[in-house]
Formats: sequence, structure tokens, C-alpha cells
Amino acid sequence: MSFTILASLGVLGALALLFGAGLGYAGIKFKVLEDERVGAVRELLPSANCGGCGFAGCDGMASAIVNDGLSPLKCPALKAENVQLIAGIMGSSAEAPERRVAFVKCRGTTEVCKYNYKYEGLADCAAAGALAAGGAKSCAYGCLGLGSCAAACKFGAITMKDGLSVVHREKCTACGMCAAACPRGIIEILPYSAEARVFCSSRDNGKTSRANCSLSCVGCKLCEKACEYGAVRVENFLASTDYAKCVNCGKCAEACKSKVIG
Amino acid sequence: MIKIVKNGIINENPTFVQVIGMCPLLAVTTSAINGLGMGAATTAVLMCSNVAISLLRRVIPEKARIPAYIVIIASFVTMVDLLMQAFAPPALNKALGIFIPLIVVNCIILARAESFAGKNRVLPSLLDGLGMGLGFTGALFIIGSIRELLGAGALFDRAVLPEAFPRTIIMILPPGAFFTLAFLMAGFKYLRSGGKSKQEGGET
Amino acid sequence: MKEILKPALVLFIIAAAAAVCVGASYEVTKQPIAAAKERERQAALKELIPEADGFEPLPSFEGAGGEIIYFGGANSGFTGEGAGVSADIKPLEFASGEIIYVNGKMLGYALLGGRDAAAVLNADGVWETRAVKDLVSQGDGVAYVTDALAAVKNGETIGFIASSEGYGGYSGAVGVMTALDPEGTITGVKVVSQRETPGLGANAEKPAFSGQYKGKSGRLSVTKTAPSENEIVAITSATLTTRAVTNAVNAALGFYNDVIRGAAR
Repeated sequence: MSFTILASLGVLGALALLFGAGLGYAGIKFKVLEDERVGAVRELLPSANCGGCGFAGCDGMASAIVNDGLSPLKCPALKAENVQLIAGIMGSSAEAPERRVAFVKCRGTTEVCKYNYKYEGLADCAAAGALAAGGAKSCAYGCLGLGSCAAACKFGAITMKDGLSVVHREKCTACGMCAAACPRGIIEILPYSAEARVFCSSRDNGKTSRANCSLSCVGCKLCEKACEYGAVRVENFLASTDYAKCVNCGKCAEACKSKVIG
Repeated sequence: MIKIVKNGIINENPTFVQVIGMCPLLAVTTSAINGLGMGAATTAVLMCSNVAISLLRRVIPEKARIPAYIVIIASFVTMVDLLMQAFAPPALNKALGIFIPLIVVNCIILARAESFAGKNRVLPSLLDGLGMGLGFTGALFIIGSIRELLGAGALFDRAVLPEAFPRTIIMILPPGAFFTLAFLMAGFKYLRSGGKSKQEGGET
Repeated sequence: MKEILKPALVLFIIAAAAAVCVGASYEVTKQPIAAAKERERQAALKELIPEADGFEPLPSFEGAGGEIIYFGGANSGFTGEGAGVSADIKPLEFASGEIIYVNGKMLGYALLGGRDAAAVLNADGVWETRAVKDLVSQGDGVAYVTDALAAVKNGETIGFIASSEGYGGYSGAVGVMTALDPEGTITGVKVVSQRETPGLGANAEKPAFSGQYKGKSGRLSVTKTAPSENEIVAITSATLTTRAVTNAVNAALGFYNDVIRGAAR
């Protein structure tokens, strides 16, 4: 064996032994004692780092669940079975919460809406909404259709079609990021099974809102009268539903002439 | 399997998408052959190191992961360097100079080692190295060609543009590298998105 | 304990395997690399004096006082290995054979093992060892003549090529080969190694620059304006590089004057 090979072997080998031992020793001396449950819980979280729990990412949530006793239910994107598994690790039991999804309170596509002007610019609803007249749409309450909600969704559950945001109910995990991103606040997180949903957010009087959009709620109160449980109320020319009282009987939907509720 | 290779060339192209390995890219692409040579050397190291690291992935303890990776990568780079000095044309060696040893710290190699080879089997790791290497080489070659063409009016050291055509010297200097990279990156992104926005159907 | 042993052992095995592979590659490529370097050197020599059949090392030359001032021949010790050394000449025991030129004048010989110290002839005619930096002032043009060959055609010497390294560049020494005709006029200059700024100093390799040296035979200096007889125009923004090259060429010229022409044969 040539001198070069032997010398290389010697030098590199010695360095490797030295550093390897050093690293091993450092691993013992500087070991961070972490509850091993944190790793197990972390594996069960969706890893989307959506922020719906209020923490920066799933790592923070895992730590909070194990070290601070936070309920796993606080992760809105958690699958029901994983909630049970995490509860099992933590030695408690948790009921699977009712499934919820996001709901956009508007049906104003480019076909049914009137526009003040044509907007060409940054695809951000907050930015566009700060322009003249509160935005390109004549209706000051409706969906601006530029996709801030879609951009905020980490699960790919919102897309834009014809200037309106559309929620894929099966993909939605109800984390709430879209609702937070919407500058007009027209996205609500509702129970999956809720049926008496109002497809409009316009508080303009009937004449104005109809002039702006052919599918608007005019505030005629037919739905309020039809509801026997007091779940539907009309205020400021806009219907809204109290889901605690609603039993999904469907009477409001039948009564509505504009088909804005259902 | 082919998907892995394609991934490295298009979807996760190290230069245009991941934007890593910029240092040698900007310095070495003063001509087409330089870009090609550098790309080839990097690809060789990438494939070899990915395979070696994949083979050893269950053996290397967590704490010694980084030193082990670096030793493996550095060894391959040294071997490639020696081989190039022995058999590659002197002009190429002179042009690539210190950037061959610098392949050791090329982001791409360590990134793929950590994120792919350390967790996958040998054949996929080899293909990943190939894909990333080809993506990188492609970028190097295109940028090098553009800079050589516009800056020296030549390609592979042969004059291509007629004498009358002005030579934009700045293309050979560092700013030229940035300009070329910027335009190509924008073009790449545009081609990939195909002008699509989020316009798919769904339920309300 | 295992926690310390495992990383150490695994790293050792990997490093050992790596060392063997790299060492083996080195052994395998040693020959081809040396051959490639020699090819490059021959190509440079041929480029400078194309008419030559071959190049031969110069014989030893004596100075006016009979002292050997150039250790040539088959054992010319430019790398310090077996420096063509004759036992009764003191400096040969420790000198590398690289001749130091300062401002075109011979200073002494670089010692084996480095260029920090030199063997110089003091006023009493005795060789002594001095530190180079003590002998050289700020701004002096320093260069080392590292090799010299005679270009031969049909048994006759048709020229000389002196290899020298000039200091004062932007980064490190600039290696230059200077071709001289038998009368000591420069017939060509080639920059063979440099680590100067690409695009600026590195352009010293271009013929447009090195062609300036052709036809000159006196000690040269660098100017930034229109050159006169023995002046070289500096590359724009690369004055330092130009100085380094000029130092090297001056050393080659000095070598010719001192050794080849000036010495008794």
C-alpha cells in the first residue's frame, strides 16, 4: 500500500474517531429531555402547518397538546380517528366533534353581478377592496373573486370560478384560514350538515341589492315568517340563521322566492 | 421511476424552482462548454453520493449524519477532481478551476442527500441524483450558451454571430448572469403554470 | 458508552473507506496528471519558439570570479530535488536554484523549502542566509527565475526560454515563460499561471497584452500612458497584474544578461 493511501487512512481515520466520539459524547452531555409523547402526537397531526390551531405549525401544537394539556379538538384539521388516537396517547378520551366546513356567503359570479369598473391588478381581495368605490363589484358586500381565500387555504379546498370562490366540501377541514383571509368577512365555518344557509351578505335594501346582483337577498322576511323555530331572522335586509335553533326542516328554503336560502 | 428523474428536471429543478446551487451557476456559466463541464461533474458526484448515502442510510447514526455525508461527498468530489485534472482538456480545468472542489458545498448535493437519499432506497436515490443533475446541467448549459452567444458572439468557442453584431460584454460579467437567470426563471415559471389560475369547478 | 462508540466507529469506517478510495484515485491519476502537465508545458514551449526541434536544460554557468552562478545541466535543482550541487560551492547545499531578481538585478538564491529566505553573496564575498523581506523594500519588483531551457534546432541553439514567477500581482505569483533570441531580445512572452481577477488581470494571458513585450531587451517598467522604448502599457484596472508580469520578464532578461551572456562559459 502506498504511502499516500496509508497516510490518508491514518489522518482521516484518526479525525473520524475523534469527531465521532466527540459527537457521541456531546449527544449524551447536551441531551434535551423531551417527552416522547410529543413525537407520537406530532405524527398524528396533519402536518399541513395551516395555523388553524393558533400555533405557527404542527410542531407547536404537538408540544401544546402534550406539555400544556391542550385538547386535540383545537386542531380543526384533525381527522376524527386521529383525535381518538391522540386522546389515547394522552390517556384521556375525547369526543369527535361535529364535522364543519367553510361556507361562502355569496353567489355573485361575473354573470349575475354588476361591476363598477374592470379591475386589472394584484390578485388580492384586500388590495382590490381598498380601491375606489370599495372594489370593482357594485355590491359592496359580495365576494371580490380575486382568490385571497384560495391562497390562504393549505388544503386546496377553495378554488375560484367565474369570479366567485367555491369550497370543496370534502377537502375542507374547517381550519378557518380562509375566513380570516377574506377582507369582507363573508366566509363562515358551519356544521357540515347545516342546510338553512343564506347565499348572500348584502345589507343594501331590496331595490339596490337587486340592481347590483340578480341573486341577492332583498330582505322580504318570507323566510323569517316561515320558520317555526325562530332560527331565521332578517336584519338590515339580510337573512341570517341561528344554527343552534335550526332543525333543517327546509321551510325557509321553500318560502324564499329568490332562492337565496337553502 | 421515470417520474423521479422528470421531477428533478422540471417540477423541482434545482436552479429554476428550488433556486439552490446558485454560487457555481453564476460564476461558471461564462460559456456553454464551461456550463456543460460543471454540470457533468456535479451530476457525477450527485449520483455517486446519493447511492452511497442511500446504501448507508440505516447504518449512520443520527448524530454523525452530517459529518458522514460530507466525508462521502468530499471523497467523490476529490476523485472527480483528480480524474478531471488527469483526463479533461486543460482549458476546461482552467476555466472551472476552484469550482470543482467547491462542488462539495454545493447546496444541491447535500440537500438531496438529506431530503431524499437519506430516506429512500438505492435505485430511486440514483434516479433522483440523475434527475437533479440533469436539471442543473440543463440550466447551466442554457445560461452558459446565452451568455457566450450574446457576450462573445460564440458558441463552444466557435464564432457564431457575424462580426457586425455587437458583443454585450456585460453578459460575460456577473450582472449578465443575474439578468439571464432572472429572465429564464420567469419564463420557466410561466411555461409551467400555463397561464392557469385557480379556476376549477366545485360545489358551493 | 455505546452512544459514543457507534458514531465514532461508523465515521471511522466511512472515513477509512473514503481515504482508501481517494488515495487509490490519487495513485492512479498521478501519472496521467504529470503527463498532462508536461504536455501543457511542452505546448507552451512550442508556442513560444515553434521552430525548435527540442528544448534542453542549460549547462552550468560560472560567474566572473569563477563561482557557479547558475546550476544547470541534468541536475538543475529548480524544485530543490538533488540541486545540481557541487560540494565545494557553499550555497548549493541549501539553495533551491531558484534565482531571486529584485528590480531586474540578481539578488541571490531561494533556499530549499521556501522563498522566505535566500542565499546571498555579501560584501566580503561570503555566502550567507538572509530573510528575503529584509532585502526587499516596499515597491521593489521581485521575481524568481525557476527554470531555463535552450531551444535547439539541428544541434544549434536558436533561443532561450526562461520560466519566472513575478510577485506584486493582485493575488499570488504570476508564472511567465519568456522566449529570448540568442542576442537577448524578447521574442515572446506567455503567462502560464495566474490567479488574478477574471476579466481584468486574467486578460494578461491574452496575446494582445503579452505581445507588447516582443522586441524589447532593456529593463522594463509599467506605464499607464503612451509607452516609450522600454515601457509596457498596463491593462486597465489591472496595474498590479501588469507589474507582476513585468517583474517576471525583467528577471528573465536579467538572467540572460547575468548568466547566459555575462558569464564566462
